[in-house]
Amino acid sequence: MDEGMNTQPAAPGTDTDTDDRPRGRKRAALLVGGLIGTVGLTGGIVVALWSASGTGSGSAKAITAQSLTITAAAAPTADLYPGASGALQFTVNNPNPYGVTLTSWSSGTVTSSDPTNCPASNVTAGSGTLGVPLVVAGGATSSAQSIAGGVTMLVAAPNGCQGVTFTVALTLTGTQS
Amino acid sequence: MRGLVTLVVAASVSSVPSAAQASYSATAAGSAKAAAVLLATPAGPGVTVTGIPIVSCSITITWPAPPAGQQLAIVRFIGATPTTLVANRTSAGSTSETILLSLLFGGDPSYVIRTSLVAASSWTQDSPAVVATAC
Repeated sequence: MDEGMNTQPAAPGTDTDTDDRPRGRKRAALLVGGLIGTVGLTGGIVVALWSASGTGSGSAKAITAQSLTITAAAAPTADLYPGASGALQFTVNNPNPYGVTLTSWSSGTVTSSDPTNCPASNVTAGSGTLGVPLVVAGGATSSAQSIAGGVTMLVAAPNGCQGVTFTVALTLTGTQS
Repeated sequence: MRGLVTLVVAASVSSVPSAAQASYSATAAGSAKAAAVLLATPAGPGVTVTGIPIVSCSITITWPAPPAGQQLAIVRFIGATPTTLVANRTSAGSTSETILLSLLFGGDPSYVIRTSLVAASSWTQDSPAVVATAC
C-alpha cells in the first residue's frame, strides 16, 4: 500500500485523538476501564450459586402441657389468731419438661380441721399477684412456699379455733419460663 | 478523573428479625394450709396460805413471766364462780388476798393462771387449778 494513504487529514467527525495506538486496542482498554469503574462505583460482587431443592415431608408434634400440682404443707407454721392474717403454705410440682413461672393466685373452698369448734367461716382467703414470681423447673418440685397474708381470721373467731388447721383450695397461674 | 466519586450504600438492617415465640400457659391446682396459734398450757401458780384461818384466810399467789407476746391473769375460783385478781401481766409477780371463811362454804379457793395473746386477748388458756387447801 502507498504510505501516503496513512498521512491523509482526518475527515470531519472522526477521531482526532493524538494517541498513536491502534484503534482496536484503544476500544478494548476503554471497555475494561468502564467495567472496572462500574464495579468500583457500585461495590457489587457477582456471585453465582447453584441452588438445590428437596421435597418430601417431615413431622413434628407439640407436647401436651400438663397441669402442675399443689400440695399443702404437712405441718404449716401457726400464725393465725383473731384479726390476724396468716400464710398459705404449700409446694408445687411441675411434671412438664419445661420450667414455668407462676405469678398469680386465687383461692377456693376452705375447710377446717375442727368444724365443730371452729367452722371454716372464721377465716377468709383471697387472691392476687405473687409478691415474687414462683419459678419451678421442669420435672421438679419447688421448695416450701407460702403466700403471706393469704388467709385472714375473723376478729370474732372463738377460743375453739386455737390450733386449728385450715385447708384452702388454691390455684396458681403463669406461663412457661 | 477530576473528582472522587464516593458511593455510599446504606444498608438498612435496623434490627435482627425477631423469632416467633410461643409459650404455654401454666396452671397449678391443689391446696394449701394455714394454721392457727395454739397457746401452750401454763404451769399453775404458786399458792401459799399465810394467815391463820380463824375468821379469814390469807393467801399469797405467785406466777412466772409469761412467754413473749403473751400476758396473764390470775383467776380465783370458789366453787364455779371465777374472780379475776390480776390481769394483763407480762412479767413475774405475786399478790395476796384475805378471804373471809364465810365465803368459803362453797369450797376451798383454787387459782389458775390464764394466759392470752397480747394481740388477741379473746383467746385464753388456763393452767391446772391449784387449791389453797389449808384454808
